[in-house]
Amino acid sequence: MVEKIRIILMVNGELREAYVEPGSTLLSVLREDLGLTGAKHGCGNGECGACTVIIDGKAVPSCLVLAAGAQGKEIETIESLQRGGEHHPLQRAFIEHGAVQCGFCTPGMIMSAKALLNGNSDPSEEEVREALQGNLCRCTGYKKIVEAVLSVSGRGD
Amino acid sequence: MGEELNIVGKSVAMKGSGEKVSGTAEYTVDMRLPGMLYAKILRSPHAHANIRGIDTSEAEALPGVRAVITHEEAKILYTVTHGSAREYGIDDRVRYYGDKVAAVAAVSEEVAEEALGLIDVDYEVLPAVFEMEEAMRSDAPVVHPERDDVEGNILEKSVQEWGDVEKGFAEADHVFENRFITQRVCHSALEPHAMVASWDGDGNLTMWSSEQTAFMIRDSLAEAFQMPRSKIRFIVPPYVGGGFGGKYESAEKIVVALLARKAGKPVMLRLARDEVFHTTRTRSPCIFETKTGVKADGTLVAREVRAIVDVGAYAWGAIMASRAASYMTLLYRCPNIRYLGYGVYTNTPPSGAMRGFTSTPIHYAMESELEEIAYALGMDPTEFRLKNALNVGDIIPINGKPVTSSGLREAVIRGREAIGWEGRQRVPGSEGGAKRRGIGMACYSHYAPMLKSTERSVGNAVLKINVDGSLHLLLGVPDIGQGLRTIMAQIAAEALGAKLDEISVTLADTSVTPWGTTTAASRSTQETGGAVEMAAGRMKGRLLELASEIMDIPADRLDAMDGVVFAKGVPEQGLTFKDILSHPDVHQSGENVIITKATYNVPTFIPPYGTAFADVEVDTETGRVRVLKMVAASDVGRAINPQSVEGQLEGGMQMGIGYALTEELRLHPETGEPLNNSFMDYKVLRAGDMPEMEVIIVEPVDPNSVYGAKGIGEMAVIPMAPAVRNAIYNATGARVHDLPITPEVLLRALREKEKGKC
Amino acid sequence: MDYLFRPKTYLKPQTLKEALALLSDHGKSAKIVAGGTDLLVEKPRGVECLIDVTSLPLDYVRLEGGSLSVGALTTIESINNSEIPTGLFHVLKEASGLFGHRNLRNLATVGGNLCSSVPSADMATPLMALDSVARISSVRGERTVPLEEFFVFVRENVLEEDEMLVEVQVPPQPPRTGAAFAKIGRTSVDIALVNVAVRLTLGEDDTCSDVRIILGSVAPTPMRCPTAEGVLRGKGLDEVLIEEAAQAVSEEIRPISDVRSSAEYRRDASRVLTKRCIVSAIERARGGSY
Repeated sequence: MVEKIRIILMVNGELREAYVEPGSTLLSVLREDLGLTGAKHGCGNGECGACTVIIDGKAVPSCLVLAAGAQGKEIETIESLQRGGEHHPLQRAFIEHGAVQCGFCTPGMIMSAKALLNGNSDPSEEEVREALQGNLCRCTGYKKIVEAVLSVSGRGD
Repeated sequence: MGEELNIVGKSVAMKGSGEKVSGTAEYTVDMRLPGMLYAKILRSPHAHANIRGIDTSEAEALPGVRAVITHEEAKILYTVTHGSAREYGIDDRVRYYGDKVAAVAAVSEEVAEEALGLIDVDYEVLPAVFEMEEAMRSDAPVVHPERDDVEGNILEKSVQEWGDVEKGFAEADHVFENRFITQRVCHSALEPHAMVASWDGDGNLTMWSSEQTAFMIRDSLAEAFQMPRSKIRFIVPPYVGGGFGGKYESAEKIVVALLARKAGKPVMLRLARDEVFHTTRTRSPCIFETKTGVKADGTLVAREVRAIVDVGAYAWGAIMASRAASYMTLLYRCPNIRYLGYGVYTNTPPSGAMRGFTSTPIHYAMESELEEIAYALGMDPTEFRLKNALNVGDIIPINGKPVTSSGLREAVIRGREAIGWEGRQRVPGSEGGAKRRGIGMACYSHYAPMLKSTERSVGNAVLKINVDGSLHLLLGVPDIGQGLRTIMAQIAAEALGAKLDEISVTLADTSVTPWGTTTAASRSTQETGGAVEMAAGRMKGRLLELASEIMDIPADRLDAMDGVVFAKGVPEQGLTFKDILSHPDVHQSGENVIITKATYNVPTFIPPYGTAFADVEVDTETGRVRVLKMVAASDVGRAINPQSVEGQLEGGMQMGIGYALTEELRLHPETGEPLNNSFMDYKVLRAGDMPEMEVIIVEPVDPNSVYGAKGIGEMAVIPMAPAVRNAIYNATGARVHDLPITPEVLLRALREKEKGKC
Repeated sequence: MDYLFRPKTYLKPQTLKEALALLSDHGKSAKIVAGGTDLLVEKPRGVECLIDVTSLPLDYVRLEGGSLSVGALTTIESINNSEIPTGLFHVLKEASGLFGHRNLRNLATVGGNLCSSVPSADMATPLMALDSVARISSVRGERTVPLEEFFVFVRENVLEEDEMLVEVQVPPQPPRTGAAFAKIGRTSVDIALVNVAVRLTLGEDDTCSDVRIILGSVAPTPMRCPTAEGVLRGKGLDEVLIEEAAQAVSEEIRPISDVRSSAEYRRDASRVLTKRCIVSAIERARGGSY
């Protein structure tokens, strides 16, 4: 029997409380305790990127982050992008460019792209692909995803 | 035809995308039901064993555990979708490393996992066989001794012939023989398999699962549990994270349903990624021995293939091997063809449908051989294919029907231009240097809904209209992420003259939607699309009839578009659907409750055609291959949604290049244990691995199918691997036959070529 | 089995002193966690206590007097983005850029990579090539260990139960020194099947006055190849000699066959990558870039 510890996380600008095991990952706490199921469990070892969130401005696989260790940091999940029913430009771009098929990789892809654009507002195609290396997609072949991200940066069509 | 289309042919945004980009799309694994428990499956550490005894008492006593089951309750026969394969929920015998032994439902996955560790199993380990050729020997360990309809491990043997190959080979000027081995690969859909089962107080079972079919599973469950079908509701949620053939049928459903019944609570099973790799179906490994005879001018005169298909421990169906024959007859004219195929059991993960089915591996073998034959004859590989291609009007041997449309020629011509084929042809491997460029191609055809008149391909659709003119389209097949929902809505909107945004689609709920088969075999567009067109046409007819009375214009002078009925030629003056349905006369009579339905029997099978071209750079020192550019040119009949077709082909390149170069699920040769069941070591391509990609859509518009469309899902992957392999051959002259062409495989082949052994 | 990893305690010391005291108290049942990219993947059994050291002020890259000090908590992505002047310790940036993928690099630390002590550790190879030294602390004091002596076996290093790696120091490099790193994987993101780092110093007469050739993933630890180094040292560097040294590497290493690669391929790849790195290092040495 493992005793739970109380943690406070800053998620999407809100302070959230949860009772977690010391070894609980941020991914499991987001999904099971905080009702934020946008981040997905695809592999559990940081390889597929379906769990990608942004912590203090950097895109990371939340399945490799200890929930307890994420305290005191600013965590952003896919759920933070929509503002009052309006899609974020990245979300709009993904829809318009046909970059969404099954959609399971989509939240993670968008977060990696968002982190990239936050730090580099005009990336080259190579830089976009580099930023998305941690996100697997089995449906799209990545092309339309890259085009969507480039379109937001202003370099694409 | 010939009229201008309004919605079909447009790249409209996919329905459901808004949910997916917001993270609010609920996949099976996101479901939460009150009191829901979590299941874990105990898996065999032996590739072949009898379960002599099993003690679950300690597991049952662990706090938080609500139910444990073994073969004692779960040895229920589950007939997998295609009949001849059979699997028990849990058997008292395990047949591959990872096979089901017991299952636990508990308050959390952690507790369930702990409980697994408390289950005591007494295994009688049996000798196992892992290689298909070994499994065919009479002294091989038998995987299914209980099946008296199976001889040894040979589940199926199929011989199909046309003409007389011996005569053909005798007439040939040149005969070529090769042997190809294709590997075990995994669908690797991003969403792991997941399912939820829940019983109510009246003995009704509801299940939600990420699957490619709802009805075929419900029917199998009804049979297994000896329940009326009406008491089982099987729902595929609106969002499924990819299937590619791997989310079809697994006897896990029996297990989860039994756990839910025993525990008295809903139970969710979600597979961990490592389980997805080696305990769900893989693509069948194959061996092909090919023999092809040609005339000096390049005419094919005889083709023979002996195939072995490794069906694994539990077969998907006794048609894997026999279906492969069909692909020999769809692309090229050849008077003499012979196919001998075996489906063989081994103690390896069950294999089955994966994008392209056995078409993908056999096309790899056939197209690799044909490219080499072209070079051997001094012919341009593209001209060699075109010379032999079936043309419109030619009879397809497998069903005796003529080809009604073919975009192959256009695909080849446009594709080779796009890749820069001209001037690249030379003797394979004639260039020196550490880094060598090469160019290659491959063609494909595929059969979409059912091949022969003895096979059935049926789609159903139900359409309901609301009084405000908006509609509900009910279809029995799921959307696995390929956009079926949108494609069908486009067809409905076009056929009816409705607004796309006012058609809401409900899929794959066995209590609500009409019967449907599987979202697979690239059949949806033709089969379900045909039904949708019919149902929509009937709805339109009804609306025009009602409008005709209101407008006092004969119905045959009316038309509908964008939700408005108008007299032909006078589109500005019309009645909206809402006007019609809320008209007092209509409303009073109750005639505005309109439901139309259609059952569409695909009249004849319409093969799609296409090509892929690859331009590669080979580092001959390390064996690494970089695919620089790929062009896919596909005859899709008509693209209902061009952007969606592109997406399928671009995704097909990722899967196809991986099949050619990097993907393989490897098993320990002595224990059958999977060695690389994680994305760390099962290498799928990432954004940085992809080549420049170009898609060319060819639209011959077949006269017999819904809007002339043929489908694309499976075909998208078929030509990719042989195109890459042929480009490597062109670059280096090295003849590689086995997949994947890893750097070390290629280095070895290059060395052998140096030594002149090839 | 996943859930055998169920630690009971989570601790987050705010100072190095605190961290070392906790390590000393908890010993074997405690695991230091920084980026988590190894620990949360490996999920070892028997971990009772997690000591999260990410609050410690060990995330820095300092250039002082030609010497580079890298705090153990510096992420790999920090190295990749660092302002280390191109030309100085450039080989570390090179290696960091080929490490995993960005999202992993945002978590993974230099200290974590070295302490995992896997033979494929991508930062170990170039750091060893530059003659780096590990600074280790415990309640008992501080010591330094040359990286070359740090690794003992697969996942084993010289750290005692109560010790923590706090910094890696890279000494100033002589003039006319060049270094290069190469790695080969099955795809663009991969654990190294082989990785190579070469550091080479040219004498005034353009002969090789000193060289280090380090290979990863070809032995239980990252290893030096002294025989191959001996082929080059003191000699004029022509194509034939470089090939000879590369060949010597392929014979000197002790690779195994595993699911990622056969031993034979590791030998082939080692030879090719070593050759390419030597050529690159020579070019850089002429320009004074390492």
